[in-house]
Amino acid sequence: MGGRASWDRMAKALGLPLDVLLDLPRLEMQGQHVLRIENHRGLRSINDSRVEVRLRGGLLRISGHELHLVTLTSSLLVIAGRIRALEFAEGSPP
Amino acid sequence: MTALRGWLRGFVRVRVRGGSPGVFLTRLMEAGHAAWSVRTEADGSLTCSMEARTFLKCRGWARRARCTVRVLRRGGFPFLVRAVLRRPGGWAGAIVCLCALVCLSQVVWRVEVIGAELTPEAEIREVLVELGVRPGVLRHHIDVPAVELELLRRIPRLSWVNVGLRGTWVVVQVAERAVLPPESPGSPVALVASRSGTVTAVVVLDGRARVQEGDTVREGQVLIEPPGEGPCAAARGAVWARVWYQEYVEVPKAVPQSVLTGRHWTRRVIRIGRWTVELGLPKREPPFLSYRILERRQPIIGWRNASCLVEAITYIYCETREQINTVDDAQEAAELAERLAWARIRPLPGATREETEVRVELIHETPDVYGFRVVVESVEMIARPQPYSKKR
Repeated sequence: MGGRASWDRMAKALGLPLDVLLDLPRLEMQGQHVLRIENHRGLRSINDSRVEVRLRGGLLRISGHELHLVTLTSSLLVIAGRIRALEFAEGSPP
Repeated sequence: MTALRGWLRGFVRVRVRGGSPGVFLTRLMEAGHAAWSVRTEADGSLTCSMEARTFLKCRGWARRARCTVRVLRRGGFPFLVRAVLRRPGGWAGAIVCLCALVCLSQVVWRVEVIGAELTPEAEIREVLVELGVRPGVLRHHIDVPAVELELLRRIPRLSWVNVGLRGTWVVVQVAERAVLPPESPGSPVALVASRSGTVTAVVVLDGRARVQEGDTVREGQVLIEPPGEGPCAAARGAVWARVWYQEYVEVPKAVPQSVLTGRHWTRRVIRIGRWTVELGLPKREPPFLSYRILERRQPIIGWRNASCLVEAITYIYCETREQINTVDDAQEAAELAERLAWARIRPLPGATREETEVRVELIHETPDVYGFRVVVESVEMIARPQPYSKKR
């Protein structure tokens, strides 16, 4: 974590985007209906009320209704439906 | 974009059952492939679309995720082509349709005549039909320069003709002469005065002048006689004369005027052919009692002859209010009277004024109005052709 903190400080000092330096996922929501995730690591599970997406060093749980994937590629994941909650879980998922 | 690329390359819609569908999709993604329209079904299975080449490679990923993958349907351009090629009637029909389209686009479907105001359009169309320009002929059979020359030769009233092939339409644009040839060819033609005045200049190109500079002439008086008695004898020349117009104009002392307040309200509609669709709900009336409407049209779709199939129209309602302008000064009223008199005189035919002199005279005044006599003096070309006989 010390390394990450120093990268964080450096990024702030240089004004560089954190997601590029730290290889973080980029999430973008359009209201409650569409969620775009760039730099993801794939799916863990999927059903119409819950989608679990693997991220670098963690897991993102998306819960809602009528969830489905619009697009799934190695760089981009687009989830649509009625999104109710996003929950980040630390640690590397199985 | 992914779905479009998949359609172009050919895609399959599959059902993934059992095991861990999420892992299956992750393997697929890690191998650099894409899936789209991924939905979970009520029975726990998952349906998704993927490129056909991806499906051919997915057996190993499915086994590792302990899933079974079954094709529900195929789609996209390659499958469409294959389906068409399997049906000889289908592609033969497509070829016939294409050929028919190409052949029919080589034929003239409509002939438009633009600009004919004095010449009957039917007369021009009749000549066009004789020259082979009519619906049904092949486009390349029309000799455009020859048709243009022949139209000018056969209809002397026309001074300029342009024949344009626009898609399957032939558009014939014409311009007519300002001075028409006589209606009854076969008799000699003289130049007569189109209005009364004092002659200021006479130019004779053909014929004999009956008036000279300084003469006073009346409307209809012969100015230049034809050079002979033959049916083709026609006087040619020009006669200028000083002519007068007189108007009585009343200018009210209190003039109501509509002025803009600066407030405006906008309404937008889309016009599709004969139908209009309101943009913005609900449809409302402008919130002003009096207004002027400005209209702006922006074509959205235009194709070949149909120049404006769909257009966006913006109506800007500019609020106005009534204001009473009082005219207290007689000089100001005189200028207004001159403008009003001009508006009445200008529409007179043949009013090509070169020198103009305007006199405005106040002849009476009441508490409500000024009364002006406006005399306009100008030099005009007054000669016009007319059939001539010696008896006149």
